[in-house]
Formats: sequence, structure tokens, C-alpha cells
Amino acid sequence: MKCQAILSSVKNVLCIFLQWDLPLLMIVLTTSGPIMAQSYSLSGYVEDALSRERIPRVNVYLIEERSGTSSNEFGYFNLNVGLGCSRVSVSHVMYTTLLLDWCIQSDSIFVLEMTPRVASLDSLIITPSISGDTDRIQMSSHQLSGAEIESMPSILGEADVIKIIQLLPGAKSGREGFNDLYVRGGQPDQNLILLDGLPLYNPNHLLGLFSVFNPPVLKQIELLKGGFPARYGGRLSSVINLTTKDGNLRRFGGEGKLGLLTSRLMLEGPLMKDRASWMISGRRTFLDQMTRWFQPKERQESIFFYDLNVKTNVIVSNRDRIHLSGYLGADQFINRTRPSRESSLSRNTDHKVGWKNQLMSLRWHRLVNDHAFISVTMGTVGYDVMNEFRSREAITTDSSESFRSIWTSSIRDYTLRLDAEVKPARRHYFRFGGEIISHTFKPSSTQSTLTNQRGKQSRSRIRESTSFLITEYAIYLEDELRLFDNTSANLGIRYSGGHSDGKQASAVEPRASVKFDMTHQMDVKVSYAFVQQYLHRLNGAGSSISREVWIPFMSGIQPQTSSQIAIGASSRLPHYGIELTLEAYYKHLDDQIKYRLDTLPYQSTGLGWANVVERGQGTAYGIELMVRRQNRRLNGWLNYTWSHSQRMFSGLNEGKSFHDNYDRRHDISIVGQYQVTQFTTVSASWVYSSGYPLWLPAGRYYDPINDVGWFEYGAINATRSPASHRLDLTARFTKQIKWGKRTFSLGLFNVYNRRNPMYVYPQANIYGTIRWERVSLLSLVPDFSYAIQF
Amino acid sequence: MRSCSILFLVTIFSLHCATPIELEFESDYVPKVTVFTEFSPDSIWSVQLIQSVAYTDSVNWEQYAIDDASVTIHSSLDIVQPMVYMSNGRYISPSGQAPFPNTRYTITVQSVDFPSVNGSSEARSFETELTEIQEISSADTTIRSFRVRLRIDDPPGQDYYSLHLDYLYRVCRGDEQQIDTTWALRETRLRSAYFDSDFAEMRESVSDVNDPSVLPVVDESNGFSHAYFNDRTFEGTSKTINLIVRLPQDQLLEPHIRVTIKNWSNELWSYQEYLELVDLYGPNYFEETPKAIYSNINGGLGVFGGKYSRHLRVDDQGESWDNEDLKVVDQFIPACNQR
Repeated sequence: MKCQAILSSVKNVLCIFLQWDLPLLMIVLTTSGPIMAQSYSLSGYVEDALSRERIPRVNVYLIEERSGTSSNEFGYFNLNVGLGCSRVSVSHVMYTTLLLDWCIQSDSIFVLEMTPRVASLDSLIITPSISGDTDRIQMSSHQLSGAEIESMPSILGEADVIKIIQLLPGAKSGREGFNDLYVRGGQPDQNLILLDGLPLYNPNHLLGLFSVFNPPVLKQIELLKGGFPARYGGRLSSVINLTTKDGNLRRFGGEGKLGLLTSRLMLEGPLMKDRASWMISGRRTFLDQMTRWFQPKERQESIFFYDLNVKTNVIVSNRDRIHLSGYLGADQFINRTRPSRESSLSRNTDHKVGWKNQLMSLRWHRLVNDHAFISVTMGTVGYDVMNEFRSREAITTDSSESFRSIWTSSIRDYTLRLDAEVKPARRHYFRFGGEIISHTFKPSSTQSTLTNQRGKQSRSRIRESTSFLITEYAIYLEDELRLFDNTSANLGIRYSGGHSDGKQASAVEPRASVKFDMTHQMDVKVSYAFVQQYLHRLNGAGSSISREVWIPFMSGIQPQTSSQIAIGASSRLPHYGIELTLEAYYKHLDDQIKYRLDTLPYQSTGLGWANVVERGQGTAYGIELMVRRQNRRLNGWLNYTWSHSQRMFSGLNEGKSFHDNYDRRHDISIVGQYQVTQFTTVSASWVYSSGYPLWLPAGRYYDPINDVGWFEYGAINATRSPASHRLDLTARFTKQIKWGKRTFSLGLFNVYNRRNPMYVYPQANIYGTIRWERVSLLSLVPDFSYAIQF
Repeated sequence: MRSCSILFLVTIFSLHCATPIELEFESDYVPKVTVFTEFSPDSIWSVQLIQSVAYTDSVNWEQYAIDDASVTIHSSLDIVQPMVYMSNGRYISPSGQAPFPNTRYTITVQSVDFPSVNGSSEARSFETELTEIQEISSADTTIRSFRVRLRIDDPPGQDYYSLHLDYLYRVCRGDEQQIDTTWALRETRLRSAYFDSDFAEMRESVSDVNDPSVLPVVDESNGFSHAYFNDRTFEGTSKTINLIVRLPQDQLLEPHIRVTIKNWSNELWSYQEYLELVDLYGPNYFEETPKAIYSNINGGLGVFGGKYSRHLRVDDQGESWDNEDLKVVDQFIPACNQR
């Protein structure tokens, strides 16, 4: 409770401070002629020298002045330099660092071209980047590129973005092998997953085994776990911002891969050289085709997914670019039974579970002048889940009965967003903007139809929940300012609101991050963020894992909120290419919801959502340590996370606090990549996680009237599964060929065949005694893949 | 490609590997008294007591029957009905007494091994009458259709009803014994009849009744076998319900219909919802919030609930019939012979 009071005080103080400070800053800025006169604006873009692809998160650093910035997701940067000459370092982990001497006489716009690193031993041992992630004010963040993702250990030959993120400190997986992401004690629905600026609701394939993000399509991935800048909002626990490639403006190229699990092809090239480009990528699993060979015709199970990404990029003028990108992906699990000729049964069944993501994004960005940059994003997102069962049974030779039951849930979003960046003075960098999102939720709809073929009789029952239309909006203002020579901050405020089910809600969300440079190689960062989320997700309404339901705030269900405070220190040892980061956080969550124990699945639609959920609170705290080595022959990281995540609901567990579902005390991940020769790399990862809590029945009893056995559940999450750990290895052999490059990869997943529990279930012996059994998803699995790049 | 598939098969096999696991359970489960009673004015008091067991214990429910309890049932008029033990955890009224309708009863169970538990409920009576039965034309020659009109006088307060129709079904011996070529009447049974209704509040399942999002049955050419509804639209008043009943022509000698209407106590209704939904959805090991089964037994488990049933029997001439017609009459009858 003390921590909660402290968080509340921090919020109030920040609100008061920002209320006075930001307008004051604006006045100071507009009248600060002398400051502006002593410096010039240096802005522009950073591009890939070969493809002219804009490069996000490039550090542009003034060495003598010990200040810098990083390019935004469009590759745009802006910093102020004083009179005279400055030595500038331009660095990115995937590109050769540029060291430039700039003598600035006036405001200038540059296009900086960076050359991708060639995988050679010589090129790897380079001067480490003088300014890395640790130089940013932003704390609790990690950046990865698509190429980095590809170089990590893979599962069944498939490198996966979310799985790599799960190896970072503070980001945990749910059950073994699945992609649900629990960041700093939050829930998966509290992650803002942005693909080209638009939020995705379900980033999973294969019931959660893999993500929908196709690595070669991705340009940049950024994870924020705390200290959220004011430009981000709407989700409590993390931001995962993924930007796709624009397409090569200079030459036709591509990449293809054949793997055990999936095969894919990505093609890109200029529509008009140096003016417009395109990119198209498709990925498909062939599991459905392969498994068909080995299954009897009487019972066939197949699983199938695909992804399609397209993007065009048009340079309208020197100052304007337009991107149009689209994504379409779907999953389907099919279980089909057909009676054999010998069988006395005559029942055909088809069970399909599937979901589909659709996204279309149009983005325009413009360099307004030497000081200002704007971007406009508009687009639509669709998400549909479906669970369908069909059966057909011959009753007599001339009559049959068929049954069809289909459950669907859907979301449609339309988004308009404006972001602007202005650097009017040396010590200030303003970002401001706003967004409006229209969501249409159809949480649950069931239709069942029974048809008798002979009599052509049919009867149907339809169960349809209310559709919700919710409008969410926000405006924000951030100032990244240098308070003193060794102190910089990002202060921001976000005003968000929503209108749902005739109910209004709004919040002022203060955000602050402060960085103190203790020495040239060490800094300390503190951050605070209050976030309000207008959507909730309810899990597992009594049936399969695909039965997740998104609902907005409404009468009786408040928007959920979180306050997070974090403190961290980071240190760089450039001689060894090592960065150390240590962070501690405390997070308080309000207005969390879970299904009530005494309501039944699907009663929500009749009783109203507010009457089927419990409202409660949560707290999460932990310490994260990361040691990372880059730009060496042996690269990688070591992470350790110690954390607690608790929940408290008045109607659950007798009002006592209990462990959250994926509260894991210790998490360790060690990831290493070793460049054996110019063309051979090996990578390994070892992960360890404490067991996750289980809520299992404590007792059972019997109803003799109806001849039914019942469970009696005990304290919530009082038991824990065994710890999970495993080692994965991958070796990659690359060879330059006449028209490109080919890579052959060999991998071993779960090398020492650890049986990590995906779930546990009770098994009764003949005496009725129960013992628990675990189901492990993947044991030792070899994989290989073959990829070409041209 | 073939080798890829074999490798993938290895994976698929590994998907289904189940191995025993040791879980650190807190084995401090305290067994509770479970009470199960569905009482009705047309049957004597009967109560079933069994203790619950730790989840991992072996289950032979007979050995967990509670045989030493003191079971008393109090009415709101302070009438005490002591119960006596029979066998297998079953206690009955020694005097063969049945519950009275519209009387709230409280059960109290005391046993030396368990804390005292109690629960209460009532069986609410209502009046009903079958006011009309009339044969109507049917396009399908294999079916005879009847319009049945009945009236329910709803008492004040929240009530839940179920409606069920049976018809007399006469089984010919040849139906069951293929080798017997004698088409003689073997026995007479009651069989569920399908019906439709003009009452839009009727639902096919208990759990749908409180859910206004469940739309009335559409394309109702087949109709209900059981219908459930509450008195939301006719609270405390009389309600006339029209039913269209379809009976198969070839199985009828002369139509005898039985309409059963039950008024369920709130306690029994709530429990019934769980029975139905557990049947539908079963256990789910991924579920984050397992459901607590409804119970109105304070300090224990189970349900103590009342219900009140009314049976209306009528033939196609509007004449009432009784259970004598259910007796097996082993005689040669032309209807059987015609098949």
C-alpha cells in the first residue's frame, strides 16, 4: 500500500509540474532567441547505401559535446550543434559506424548513407559504437533488427520475433513453447503490438507456437517495458513497435527459404529507380500437406497458416514519402473424422478452429523544414476468431441428420494518427500529436443448426452478444530536454479518452524519464509512467485456448490503469564491447478483470459483462540484469530477472492476494553467437524459468442424484509446475554464390530433451487414485532449413 | 520431402508425450459434508449425504457415505422432521412424510466428524390447466399434428418452469426382436414429443433462459423436446401457451399426451445450469478461472432444492387418462400387424 501511495504521489506531483512546466517551456522556447542563435539545426535521414532503405534507431552522436539523438522509425533525425566543427559518430549495430567531421554554418539537412556490415571476421572487430542504446533517455527498452532475429537460435528452422523477445529481461513466456508475452507482470492484452503503426490483437500462429511476423520483412523491432514516452498509450505493460521494410529502391532482390515448418519468399525492387519501391512476402506452412500422408483417412488432423505482407514506398518529393503496407494472415486447425467402410458408425465430423488478422496502413511523412517533421498514419485492422463444428450422421439409408455450430468473435479498427517532431532549440526536442481509433467489437456469436435431411427440417439457435462501438482518442506532448550538462529528461503528458456504451472515460497520463550521466560510461535513469487502457481481454471462457474475448470499458467495467516507476543504471565497457544494465521496477495495476467463479461461460451476453467479471488490482515488482556483448566474434547476452506478480480480487480467493498466472520468480536466459569462420556461425541459447502457478482442484465430491462428480477448487494458484529449462543450438553455413548468397542452417531444439510442462492434467488409475501428468509440447527436435538471398 | 515429413513425424509424436509429474500439493484438504436433495410434494423426504474427498484420494463413493449424521428439516412453521438413516448415505422421513408446497424448508446436518451445515429451499406450487386439444391438418402424412392450449397461473415471485411433452408409444415386438415375426404389441411406453410454441420466451436449455441474447428458436419445424422459461413476462398472472405437437402417425393407435410442467426453485435451477454447462464444455486445463459449482449448503457442498410438478394427461378427444394405460397389454393388434 505504501508503494501505491508513493506512485500516486509521483503522479500528482508530475501532473502539477507538467501543468505549469510545459506551457512555460513553450513560452521560453518561443522567446529564447539567444539560445537559438547560438546553434544550428542538423536534420535529415539515415539510409542504407545499397537499398536506400531508411534506417530507424541509428545513433547520431556529437562526440565532444557528449550529446546525440537517434533516428525515428522513419529514419529521421534532428539535433542541434554549436558553431564550428563537430565530430559526429553515426552508428547502428547492423551497419559500419561512420565517423564524420561536420562544420556547420547554417541549418542543414543531410541524407546519411550507411553501409551494411559484411559478415567477416575483420569487419566484426570494429570500433564499438560510442553511443549505444544506453545513451538514450529512454530506459527499459531493447532494439532488434530483422537480421538480428534471423541470426538467433530457431525452432524448427523458424526464427521468431516474440520468442526472441521472451529471451529479454522482464519479458516472460506463458506456457512452454507458446508466444503469449507477459511483460513485467502484465497480461498479453496489455502489450501494444504495432505493425507499421497499427495495433494487432493476436500476433500468434499455430495456436501460439509462432508469431505472425515474418523476419525478412522486418526492418526494426523495438520493445519498451516501462518509462513509456507520451506518444505511446492504450496498453499498460509494453510497446512492441515493428516496422516493415520499404523495399529496395535501387535493384531487384529477394530472399527465399525452405524449412521444416514453413517456406517463404520475399521479393523487393524499384518501381521507379530511386523514386518508388515495392516489397511482397509470403510465408506458408506445409504441415497440412505433410501430415496428410501419415494419417488414416478415418481421422485426419491438420494445421495450417500463412502470412502475406505487401508494401509500396513512394518518394513524392525530397521532403515527402508515402508508404502503403498491408498484412493478411490466417490460421486454421482442422480435425476431420470419416467412418471407415468396416465401421458400423456413420458419422462424419469436421472441427475447425481459426483466426485471421488483416491490416492496411497508409503512412505519409514530411520533412516540413529544418526543425520539423510530421507523419500521418491511417489504416484499418481486422481480427476474426472462429470455432466451427459440423457433423453429419446417416440415420437410415434414406435420411440423415446434420449439425453445425459456429462461434465467432471479431474486431474492426479504423485509426487516424498524427505525429510531429520539432526541435526549436538546442536543449529541447518536442514531439506532439494525437490519434483517434474507432473500434467495433463483436465479442461472441454462436449459431447452431440441426437439419434433418429426409424431412428437410431444420432448427437453429443463435446466441449473439451485443456489439460495441468504442471511440478512443488521445493527444500528447513530449519534451526531450537537457536540464543540465549531465542531466536530460523526457517529460510528457498524454490526455486520452474514450466513448463506449454511452459511457465516457478520460485520463491525464503523466510520463517522465530522467537520465543522469554519472561518468562518460555510466548513467542512471529513473522513469514514471501512468497509462490508461480502454480495452480488456478475458481468457478461456470455459473452452479452448482460442476462446479469447476482447471487450471495451463500459458501465460497471472501468478502463484499466497502471502506474510504473523504474530506476536503472547502465554502464558501458567499450573496450570489451560490453554493456551492463540493471533495472528495478514497481508497477501497480487497477481495474483488472477476471471471470467470476459463480458465473457460467456465455452468461456474459445475458447478464451483461459487468455481472460476470470480478474487478481487482495487481502489483508487480522485480529486478532485471542484462549483460550484453556486441560487435565481437562472440556476441550475446546474459539476463537474469527476479520478479513477483500478485493479484487481488475481492470475489476471488476470499479476497486474499494470490500469484498471477505466470508469476515466475527467476528467469535466466543466456544467448550466444560465435563467428567461427567468415561463413560459419553457431548460436546457442539456454533458458531457465521457475515454475508457473497452477490452480488445481483440492477436493472432489459426488452428486448421487445426477451421477456426476464435481471438483472443489482450493486456494488460487497455490501449486507450482516444475521449473522449465532447455538448450537450443543452431549452426549456419553461408556461401557466396554467383548471384547471391545461400545459407544452410542446422538446429537442435531442446538439446538435452527436457520435458517442460505445457500443461498438467489429472489421470486416474483403476483404483480411482489421481496422479498428475504433464504434457510436454516439444522434446528434442532437430531442424534444418535452406535459404537463398539475391 | 519424404525425409522432411519423417522428421516432422518425430515432432508430432513428441507433441503428445505425457509423463507423470510430482506436484507439491498442500495436503491439508478438509473433507466437507455434501448434501443432495431434490424434494417435491409428490414424493417423501429423502436426503443423500456423502463426504467430499481430497482430489488425489481414491474414490469409492459408497465408503464415503455419511451414516451417523443427525438430519433435521425445519419448516418456516417450526415443524421439525427428523430423518432416519437407510443405506448408502440415504436418509428418509420415517413417517413417509412429503414436503408441503409453498413452505420454505431448512435442512440441518450435524455429524461428529464435520461442522454443522445447512441450506434452505421451497417447492412453489402453481395451478395449470389444459384447456384445449385439437387435431390440425398436416402436410406431412406421416405426422399427426395437434394444437394444445394450456394455462399457467403464476404465483407471485420469481419462478422458473420447464415444459415437457410425452405421448404413449406402443412398442411392437418386431421392433426389438428382429427374429420374431409376430407383430404383437409388446409394451406401452412414454416417449418425448416434439412441439412448437407461440411463446417467444421458451428456450431449449436452462442456461439460455436468463440470457436475452439467445434468440427464439428460428425455423422451428422440428421444435422443442424440452422447453424452459421464466415468468419474466407474466409475473403473478395467468399465461396461456399454445403448443403445436407433432406425433408420428405410424406409432399411434390413439393419441395419448402427457404434459409435464415443473416449477423449479431458484436453488435447483441454478444447480441445473451447472449440470448442463459442464456437460457442454467439460474440463479445460487451459482455463484460467475454473468455475465454482453452485451450492446452497452453508459450510458444505451440494444442493438442497425443491420443485413442484404437474402432469396433465389428455387424449385426442380431450379425455383424461391415467397410468393404467401404461400397462403392457400383450395382445395382437392390427396396428402392429400393418407394419
